[in-house]
Parts: sequence; structure tokens; C-alpha cells
Amino acid sequence: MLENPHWLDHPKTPRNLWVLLIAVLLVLLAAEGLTSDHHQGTISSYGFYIWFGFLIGLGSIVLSKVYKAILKREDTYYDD
Amino acid sequence: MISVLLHPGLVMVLLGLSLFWVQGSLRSIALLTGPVIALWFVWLVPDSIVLSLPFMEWQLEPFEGDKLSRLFATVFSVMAFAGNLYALRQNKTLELIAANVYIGFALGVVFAGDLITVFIFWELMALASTAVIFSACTERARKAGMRYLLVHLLGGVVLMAGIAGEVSQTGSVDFVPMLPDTLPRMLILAGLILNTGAPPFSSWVSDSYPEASFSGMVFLSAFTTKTAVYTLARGFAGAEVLMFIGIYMIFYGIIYGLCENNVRKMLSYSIVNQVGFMVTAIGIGTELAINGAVAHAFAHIIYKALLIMAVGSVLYVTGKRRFTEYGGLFRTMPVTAICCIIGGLSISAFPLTSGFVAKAMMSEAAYSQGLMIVWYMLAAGTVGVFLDVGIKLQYFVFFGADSKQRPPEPPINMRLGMILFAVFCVAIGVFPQQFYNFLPYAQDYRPYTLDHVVTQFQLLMFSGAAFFIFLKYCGWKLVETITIDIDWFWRRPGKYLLLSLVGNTGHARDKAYRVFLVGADSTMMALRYLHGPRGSMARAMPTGRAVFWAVVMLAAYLLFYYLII
Repeated sequence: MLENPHWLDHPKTPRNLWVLLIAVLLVLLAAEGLTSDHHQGTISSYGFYIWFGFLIGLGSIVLSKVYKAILKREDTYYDD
Repeated sequence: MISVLLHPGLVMVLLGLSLFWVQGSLRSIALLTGPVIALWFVWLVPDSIVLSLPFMEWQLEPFEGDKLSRLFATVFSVMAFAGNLYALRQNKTLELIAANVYIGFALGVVFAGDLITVFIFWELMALASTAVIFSACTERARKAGMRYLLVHLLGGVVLMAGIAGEVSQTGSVDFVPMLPDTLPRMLILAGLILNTGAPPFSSWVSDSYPEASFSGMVFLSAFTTKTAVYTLARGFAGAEVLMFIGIYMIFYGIIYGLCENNVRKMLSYSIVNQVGFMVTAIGIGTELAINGAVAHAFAHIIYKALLIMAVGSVLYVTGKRRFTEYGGLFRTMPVTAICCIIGGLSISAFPLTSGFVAKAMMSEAAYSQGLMIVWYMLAAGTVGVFLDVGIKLQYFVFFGADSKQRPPEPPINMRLGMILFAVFCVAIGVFPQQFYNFLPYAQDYRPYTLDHVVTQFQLLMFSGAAFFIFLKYCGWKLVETITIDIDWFWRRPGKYLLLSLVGNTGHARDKAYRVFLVGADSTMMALRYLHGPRGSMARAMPTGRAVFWAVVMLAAYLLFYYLII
């Protein structure tokens, strides 16, 4: 018997989730104008948390990929 | 005055030992009521020395309470309850005995007022936690347990050396705030910090914890590293070196976590990452920073246990442990998935979760001290752990490519353990002021400002966007590999060096032994030749021959005499 497909399995779901993500990002971008951060210096500059989050996120992933490419070994490397 | 019999650690040790005899439903009752009694006792402990004992020329204070120790003891007891609830169906009794005794010893450290008591319970914890790893009863667990024990015994030796030096220099065994300004204090710090997963021995966490059973790792995740955080908060607040060590731990955990294919190993890396936040905050050392570190330790024990319970549940029902073997499990494990997501949101410091209200204090403490580099590092660390545990874990285990597995939810007790801690994560996040009231220092910090909530969402959502953009355009190939760590030095070249030394030593020994044997053999043959049954020295001689030789000897003597004279 075939199982009922979950709503997350619907073919349109990935596209809808992307739309939702972009909408949330746009709202957060717009919300920047609402904040009056009590911090000073770079971290209070416009959109700091946006570019910082994005760049650190991307940088961490790329760094981990480079790191793994250099230091990866077979799963059974220590099994002797 | 409260009796020493009311020590919460004693309750847990007795509970653990009672499991040798108690079985069936009585065992379940004991496992659930023991931690509740311990928690009750924790809140009976006054802000003073409860027990003082003379030992040689010193006065030990093995039972002493204050706000800091009660807070840690509280979360340890709560953890004991949830862990026992989760492990109710664990059929390896040894694990439950070891785990509960281990918790008792951790409580022993928390309520210790002197360095000698700290050391004794510290070492007992190492032994009991090793037993938890061993009780998984696999060859991998046995080997990992031995490596774990060796690292911790090394830490114990360093700690003991430091304590001995400190006592000899100061004449006091009291566990009081100090700074690493003398060699003994540096050794004490080194011994304590080893248990946090600090460099160069960070790998012990990810090497050993994942080899424990599905429930064993839940216990292990909570006590050793957090007891170390407690001792650092009590003894080394404001030691600047901790900031550097903590920041290393944060990024070590993130990068290795992103590389890792074994789910529980990845969570072990994230333990190091999260403890790195606490160590950094202790290094900052202000009241707000210490409150932040302690609050984070409290919150971390709960959400990390929740995450490990969730992946332990997946391991329990599928028997698999790698990302490459999972995918799409949300279809049949929705409760586990939701609990895991709540844990992931908490560790990532999403608003309305415990991580948000705890981590915020540490960042604010760094900012208020003008430590902007530290502030940037903490913010980057928050991003990193969100990618690791908030997204990668959830996506590849419960969503992502469908592995076609349809495992059931775990048994009810395991689900209840997860639900309990998921509720705690949200409750602490929603009612932060009630939580802050338990912290060691009074404060007026408000985490829920519009600025803070918006900027935190910006930080997290845009880093999440980076992950999904990378996933969509570059792909994320999961491969069945490991990423070698610093322990490679002693597990590969170190091992071969040792084997070669042993081998060469063996050759030299064999050679010496052979020379000795040949020498001994020749000597024995010579002796046998001369003195043996047929040896010339032992042979019976006829009287005539003896007289002949006597005459010859006398003649030789006379000749010699005349020649000389």
C-alpha cells in the first residue's frame, strides 16, 4: 500500500520554502530601519548583522570544505 | 546544621549502587525518585560550610554550599532525572550504575570547598565516566574508553602536581579564586581545563563520547565538561588566557562539526564549541560574564542533552549513526524531529529559547569591556553553531534526500525525556528573569529588546541563507570519511614511534639475552667438563697415579728451588 505523501514532499514545497525564506530576509532587511542599536562602532553600522552573518556563514562552510579536503581519511582509518 | 548524610552526591552514589540489586519496576522507581531526592537535598544546602574534617595538617571542607554550587547541582540533578527517564529501558545495568555514581561524584566536585576534595571527586568522575563508555560493550568503545581514561589520568596527574605545589607554597588547601600567576596554579588550570576539551587534547570529547550507548552519551555530555566549567568559574574567573583558549575551542568545534559525517561525533564537536563560549566568558571575568557563562552552562546541559537524546533515538530505532545513512526521517519520527529542532534553535540562540537569553550576556560582557575582537568571535561562533547543529544536523537527518527508512518513534520514556527538555528550553527562553534570579550575581539585564531580537534574527537568518545558497548551487556531498585531528599525532606517528622503540628495545634485549645465554651455556659446559660426573676434577683417581703426580710436583719444586738459589 502506498503511503500518503507528506505535505513537505509536495513538488512545489521547495519553491515555496525559498519564497518564504526570501520574504523573511526582506522583512529583516526592512526591519533594519526599526532598530537603534545601543552599540557603537562597526557593529552599529547599517546592515552589519546581515552581511556579517552571511559572510561568516559562507566563509565557515568554504573553510570547512577546504579543511576537509586536506585532512579527510577513510572511515576505517584508525581501525586496525 | 544539615547532616552530611544529606549530601546530594551521596544520594546519587547510593542510587547507582542500589541498581546492583534493585530490578524491574522498582528499578524504574529508584531511577526517577533518586534525582528528585537529590534535587531536594541540593536546595537544603546552606550558604556555608556543612562539613569540615581534619586531614593531616589541613582542614578539609568536603561539603560547602553557595549560589554557584547550588545552581550547577540543580541542573545536574535535573539532568540526572531526564537522563534516567530516557534510559529507563537501557538493559545494560552497568551503564546506569556507572552513570548515577558518576553524577554523584560530579556533585561531589560541585560541593567541594577544598582542592583535595576536588581532586578526589575529579578522579572518581574520570573512572566512573570511563565505565559508562566501556558499558557500551563494543571493541570500539573499549579502545575509545582507554584513550579517554589515559587523557583524564594525565589531567589528574597535572592537577595533583599543581595542588601539591599550591598547598606547599600557600599552606592552604582552600579552593579559592586565583589567577595562573605561579607554576602550581598554571598546573591546576591546565588540569582543570583539560576536562573542558581545551587544546591540545580537544579530541578526547569527539573520540570517546560517540562510542557510548544511545543513552550513555546523554549522561556523558552533561557532567565532565560542565564540572570543569564550574571549577574554572569558581577558581579562575578573569584569567585572560581563557579567552584565547575559549575562542580556539569555538572555531575548532565549528569547523570539525561541519566536516563530520558521524552525527553524534558532530554533536561532540559542538560540545567543545559551546564550552568554548563559557571558557571565553570566564576569561572575561566580570560579573555579567560569569553570569553569562553559568547561565550558558545551565542552558547548554539541557539543550545539548535534548539534541543527543534525539540523535540517540534515531540511533536506537535505526541502528545507524552517519549522516550518509539518514535522510527524510521526519515522516515517521515527528516528535523526535520537533524536539531536535527545538534543541537546534536553542543552541543557535534563537529568540524565545534558552540559548538566546544565556549567550546574550556573554556578548554584552565582551562589548562592555571593549573586547571587540572577542565580541566578533562570539557572534561568528553563534553563526557557526547554527550552521552545524541548527541546520546541517536537522536537514540531513530529518529532511534532505529521502533514505527510504521509515523507523518508528522511540519508546514513550525516551520521548518524554525529550519533551521535558524541549519544554525547559522554551520555558527558560520565554521567562528569562525567573531564570536570571538563580544566577550567582544580581543583575538587571534584559535580553528582549527590539534591537537585540531583530539583529539576532538577521545574523541567523542570513547565515542560514548562505547555507542553503551553497547547498543549492554547490551541493553538499556527504562522504563516509573522518577528518583527522590533533590526536592523529599520538594515534599514528606516536603509536608507530612507540612500537618501534618497543621493537628496538626488544631486539636489544633479545640480543643481550642471547649473549648471556651463550655465555652462561659455555660456563656451564666448562664447569660440567671439569667438575661433572666425568670431569677431570671430579673423577676418582687410583692411588698410584696420585703418588706419581705428587712425586712429579715435588721434583718440579726441587728443580725450581735449585735453579733460583
